[in-house]
Amino acid sequence: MTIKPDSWESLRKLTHARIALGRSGNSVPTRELLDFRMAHSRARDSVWREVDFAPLGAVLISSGFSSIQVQSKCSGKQNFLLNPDLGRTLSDESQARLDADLGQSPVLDCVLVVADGLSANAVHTNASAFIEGFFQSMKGVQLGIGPVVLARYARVGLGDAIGFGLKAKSVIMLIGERPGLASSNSLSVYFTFDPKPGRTDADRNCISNIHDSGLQPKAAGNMAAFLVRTAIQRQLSGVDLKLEYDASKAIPSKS
Amino acid sequence: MSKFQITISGNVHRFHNLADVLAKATPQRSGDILAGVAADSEEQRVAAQMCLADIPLAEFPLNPLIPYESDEVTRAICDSWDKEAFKKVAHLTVGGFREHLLAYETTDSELAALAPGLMPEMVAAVSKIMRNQDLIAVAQKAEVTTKFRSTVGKKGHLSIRLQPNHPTDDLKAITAATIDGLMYGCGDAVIGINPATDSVGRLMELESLLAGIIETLAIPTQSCVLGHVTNQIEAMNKGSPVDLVFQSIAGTELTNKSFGVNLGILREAQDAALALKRGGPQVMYFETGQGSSLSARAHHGVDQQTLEARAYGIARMFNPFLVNTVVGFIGPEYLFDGKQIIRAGLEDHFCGKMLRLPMGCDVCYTNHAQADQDDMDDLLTLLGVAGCNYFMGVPGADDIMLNYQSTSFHDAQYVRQALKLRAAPEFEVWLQQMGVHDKSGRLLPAGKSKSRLLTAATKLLPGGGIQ
Repeated sequence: MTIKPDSWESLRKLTHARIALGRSGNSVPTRELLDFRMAHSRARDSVWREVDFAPLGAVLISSGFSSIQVQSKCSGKQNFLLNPDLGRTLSDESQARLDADLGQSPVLDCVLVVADGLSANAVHTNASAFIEGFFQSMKGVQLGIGPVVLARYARVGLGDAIGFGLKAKSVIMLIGERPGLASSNSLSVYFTFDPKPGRTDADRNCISNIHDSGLQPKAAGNMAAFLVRTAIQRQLSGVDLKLEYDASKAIPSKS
Repeated sequence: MSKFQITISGNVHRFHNLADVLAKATPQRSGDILAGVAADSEEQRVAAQMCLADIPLAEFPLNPLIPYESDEVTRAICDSWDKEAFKKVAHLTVGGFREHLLAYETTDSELAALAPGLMPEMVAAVSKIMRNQDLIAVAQKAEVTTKFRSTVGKKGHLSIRLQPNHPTDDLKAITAATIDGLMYGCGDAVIGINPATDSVGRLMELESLLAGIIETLAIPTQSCVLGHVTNQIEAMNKGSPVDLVFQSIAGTELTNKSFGVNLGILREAQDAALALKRGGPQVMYFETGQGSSLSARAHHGVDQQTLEARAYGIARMFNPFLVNTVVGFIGPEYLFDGKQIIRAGLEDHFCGKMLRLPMGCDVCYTNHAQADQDDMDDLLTLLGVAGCNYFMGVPGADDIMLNYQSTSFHDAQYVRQALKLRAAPEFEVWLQQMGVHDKSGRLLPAGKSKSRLLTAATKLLPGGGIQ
């Protein structure tokens, strides 16, 4: 046996960092080498995979919600990775689709956008549970939400363009985070009141780390709905909006 | 303007100005394309390199890339330029300067004497026409050493920053990762934490944790908590045990403003750290990286590599203990793949060394870049050959707070052994006394002294022990 285990393995329970890996010579054992490579491969696949919105669209329809698919000005994944600004701008065709939809819609209090961002897997794995939680907590709340917008090749800023395009009072965007090795399917939520191009992070509220071993997607949906209700009530978002969130009160009681 | 044009096989290639020649002469990278300053063909790139090779170095002081009046970085570079030192190369073109640097006669002491006469833009210019092997061969001649408690940068030595970051700044987790790094022979450049929360209270908590570890285990090294420089100044004012003061810097005044710093603030920080007299004479730690000015929309049409060199122009005014380029952290829109990251790392190290900075490199990438650990092995090895002062040591190369991949404690051990490089002299002695390394720098199996170190170290876990 050439593997030399580290005598401080007991420290591993204190952190999820890759410590006390052991070694052979100067190098990590084969198992550790391949585990790392597997984590990286998942992250890479998640970045480069094309998002498939069809299953999510079907879930929405069966719950009584319609959806619209849009795309940023990016022509493909590589173009998306290389041009952040294009990912914040709607394609002409998508802009026209929103304009057409605008003619039929009542005034929207909030538009929900689901976007691929940097992880298609995050959308595939965790978006529907989030949406379930979100609409569960919005039940009985008198707010115009409209169709859910499904956005491809999207950066966070695209949410503002969509909200602005639909003349919505606010936008809540669920988007795939840049994958880490620990999790390649984590989502974030960004909320902006009075969305318009040129908004910055200071104007937004964010909930991050939404995945099975982080913040549970359904609970995050509850939390996001609370955020939307509070922000619309107070007519603001961003650093000025301080939330006192109580998870036990997130879902309207049955009585 | 005939000096910014060149005719090749009857084709006239015209460039607007010096900044345009420099940008178009730059080896391809995504950030320059994004900024709209890159060459539009491979032929134009080489034509720009040929044009650049013919430009006299003496043209650079006459053509500031960003106006003197509107940018304090330009002012700092121009005002600190040593014309006497420049005389030695005043007659050379950029192409001739390359040959001068490569010549046997140009030794380390020649390079040291020349450095004050070099503007960062001159160094950036020559790097653009150099091959990777030129960047390595010339940088290898330069020995830039600095001292706090350990001495970093001596020829034949390689130091490591131990980077035990944690997403919630959990003190036990940070201590556990620190122990792991020490047991693998890392930490002689600095034990440096990027805090997840950048508040004065948090910085002070982390600073006293590291000071306690260093003092109790009598480690000949220094600590740093990489919060914003203004928070570090406040922590020092409140009596926190700060060894090195950290700040990210860039090559334009506007970018630095977006970081919330200027030269005045950096001077205040340096004075405060020196006044503590905890070690030295060097007390500053700077990080940089190509693309930061474009990211801050403050690049003035100058290519990202030249701006990076200008950041070094500021760094050298503060006699830093450590400087490192965080080369692949910024993402694929600036450096797309392993090839671009490797090239940028070699350029940055070379430019820093020509300006006599104690250059290290965070050999790293994010998961949306076209790169992997093999690319990091390549850059790590190349920079090891080039004489890089230090690398990062992150548990398993996986930074669980910043969510990117760097180099690991194992990688440090690999590159030291493969290139016969030793830890910082003071730290090397400590490692041998503690039974971590043998005389040749190999890791030792568990023995009496190593067990004693481990016992002493685990006692330092906040709350006293593992449970």
